[in-house]
Amino acid sequence: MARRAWLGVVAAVALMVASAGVLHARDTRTPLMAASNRWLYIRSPRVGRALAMNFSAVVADSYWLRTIQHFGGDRLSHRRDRPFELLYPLLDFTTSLDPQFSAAYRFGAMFLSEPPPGGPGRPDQAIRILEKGLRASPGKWQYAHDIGFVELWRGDAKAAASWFRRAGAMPNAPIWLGPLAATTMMTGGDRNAAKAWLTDMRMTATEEWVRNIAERRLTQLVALDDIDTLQSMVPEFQKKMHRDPTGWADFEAAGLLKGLPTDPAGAPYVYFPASGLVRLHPQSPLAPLPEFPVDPH
Amino acid sequence: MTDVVRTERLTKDFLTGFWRPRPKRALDELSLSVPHGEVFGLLGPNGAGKTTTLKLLMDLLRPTSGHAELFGKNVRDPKSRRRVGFAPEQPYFYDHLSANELVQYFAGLSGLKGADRIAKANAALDRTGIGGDERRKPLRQFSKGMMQRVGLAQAIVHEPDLIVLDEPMSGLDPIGRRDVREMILALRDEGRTILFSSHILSDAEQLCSRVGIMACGRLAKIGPLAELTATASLEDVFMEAVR
Amino acid sequence: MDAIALIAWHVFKDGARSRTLVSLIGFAFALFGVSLLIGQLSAGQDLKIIKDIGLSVIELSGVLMAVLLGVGLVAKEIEKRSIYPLLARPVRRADFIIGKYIGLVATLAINVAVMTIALYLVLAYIRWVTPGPVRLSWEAPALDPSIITASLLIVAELAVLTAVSLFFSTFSSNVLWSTLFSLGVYVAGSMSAQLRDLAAAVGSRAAGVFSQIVGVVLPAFSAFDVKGQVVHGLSVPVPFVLMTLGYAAVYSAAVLVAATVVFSRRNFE
Repeated sequence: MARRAWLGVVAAVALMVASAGVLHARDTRTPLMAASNRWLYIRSPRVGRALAMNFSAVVADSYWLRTIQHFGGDRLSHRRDRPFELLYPLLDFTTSLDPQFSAAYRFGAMFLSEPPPGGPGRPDQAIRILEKGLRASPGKWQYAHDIGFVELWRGDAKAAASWFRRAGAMPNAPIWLGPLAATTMMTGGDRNAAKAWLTDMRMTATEEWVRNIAERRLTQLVALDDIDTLQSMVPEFQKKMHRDPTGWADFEAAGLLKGLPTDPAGAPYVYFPASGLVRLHPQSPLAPLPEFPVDPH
Repeated sequence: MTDVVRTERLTKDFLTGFWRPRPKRALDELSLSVPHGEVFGLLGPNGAGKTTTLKLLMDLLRPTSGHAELFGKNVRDPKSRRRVGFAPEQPYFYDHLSANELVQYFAGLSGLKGADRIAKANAALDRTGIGGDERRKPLRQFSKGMMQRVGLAQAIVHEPDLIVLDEPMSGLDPIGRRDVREMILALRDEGRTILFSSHILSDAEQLCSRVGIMACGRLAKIGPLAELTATASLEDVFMEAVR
Repeated sequence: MDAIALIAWHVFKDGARSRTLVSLIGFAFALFGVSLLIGQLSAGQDLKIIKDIGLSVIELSGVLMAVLLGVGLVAKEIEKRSIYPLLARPVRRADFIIGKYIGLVATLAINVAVMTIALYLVLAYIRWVTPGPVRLSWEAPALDPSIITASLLIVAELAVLTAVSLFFSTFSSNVLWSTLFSLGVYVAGSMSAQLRDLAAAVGSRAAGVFSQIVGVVLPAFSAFDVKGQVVHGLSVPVPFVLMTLGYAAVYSAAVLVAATVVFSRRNFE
């Protein structure tokens, strides 16, 4: 009798493994078109608040989780188009249910302004949501400060400086906001300001993956600076040697460079002699570099 | 003819205790046999191992060691129970069914089909005194005594050669007990073999041709009723055996 | 073979007489009421919402039936001891389990079918009261035949869940615990895809192996969910349906074999 039992156990295990195989085959051979909940049942925050009654904060939390899932899901998906179309409605809904949900405003703004392909690239929506936060909490300098950075990101240094000044005037604002406003005004510093903002994000974010994004962006900024520096060597070489450079070795020979230039991730930068452009190696871990809006200056 | 029931050093241990389960011996090397046509009474106080024995015969329990056969077939084989009917103590059946439906269901499980099944079900219900109106009522509405009768009906519906009854009189009033006694005697007269357990000695005295007295998992005394009670009353023999 | 058919028929009859009929009618009316209410609230989304809610309710009530009845099939019988006279019959233990399974799956299938018909009736009503131009904006027709596909997959899902509850009740004759375990497996199995993503996100190798094992052992209930497709009018290809049914069959067979092994060795004290 014990032998029959063992046979049964083996058969059960074999069948179970086989079933997993069937499922795997199904998902690889005939996958379904993605059609997960890409729409909200209730778009009106007023209705939502009415329905949630006493549980607004909890419902807001759950919507926040959905927001993160939506953002994360679209980022991780293999689709070519990643619309992130629900991001703003979800954030709007979340913050209507819980107007003090500062993480939703601040990180929501960050998600919204994240340029494609990693995000929707909607700094206008980012500013809208932060302004909503300011209406609910007029003295919260962080929201004004964040709007300032989004404006910088968009290339409008004047608006950015004005927001930094406003932030600096709010209660309990840190003292460096004033000088930051001044510096921004003076230099119109696109990347420097971005670096400051990302560094701040990296230090204050509570979610690890948000910190990781900030870290990655900072590294990419270093690469962009590197590329600018390397790019500036091309006309220098032309002036010095009276011909076009053909590769890094040429730069080295001309004394402009020491060794093969690599990006912070260790991949070598690529020089295209035909066009004279310096670019990131396509297989560098830092690729693709974000398409920053062009500095109007 | 082979014995209808035969056990050979049948032993059953139960594991008791949650943290370190220890075996407790409920049945110790029971060897007995019941030949054809006999009415055998398994007697003993509560906890003696009577129900355990019957359950082992019905393959509801698996023995720790030893061997049991019905009609020469190992009790592990479901076919050994083809000609057997079993009525457990204080049975419970499905609330939603009527007595009729229940007995027919069990008759079907014993291999009866069609008109034969219906006829024999009715016959069994007649025999156990369940009237025409009552047998259509859902079992939910039955009293304990009525349930006991239904239990007997399902045990005899397929006209088995061996009928095993666990405390058949429990829960019955004197009229009910008389009815059951008469039914057992009638079954014996039909040439069937009956094995039942009881702690009521008077029933055994009136019905059995042979008895076995159990105590603490052991068969203390076994033999024809006449022989055992030749010099003393059954009660005295019982008391002596279980001491 | 006969024994299996008899036991299955008995389970079916028993199920039909239990309170399922009342709950079915109650469900149909509740759906009706909800649909009218939803029509007032949302803006033109009512068809999608009703299909989604309707299929969800069918699934949920099916889940409850599968677990509550499934556990009762064996655990309750053992607890109440009605199993004794049954097993004293010349019936193999395996036949008992298989018969109970077939009977319950048949019951559930009929229930799902009836509720699907009720859903179609509600959808027909919606279609009737909706003006033509609005109807043109629907992504999928009101009386969409692919709802039947969704219901079919729900039945397959319930077949798996029934096998699981049957399995739990073979070794635990405590009705409460068996019910909780079965519901727990349902919840975990519905999140199996997310659990696997979670393990992948953690990144450690141990988590990876663990999630692989869990992925095989836990029934992937999320694999039966095509509500999104149906509601948005996206097609559910036939090979997909067939392979999903295949998964359900093979997995259920695995669980039933295990249940049979456990049940065959069981002592009924």
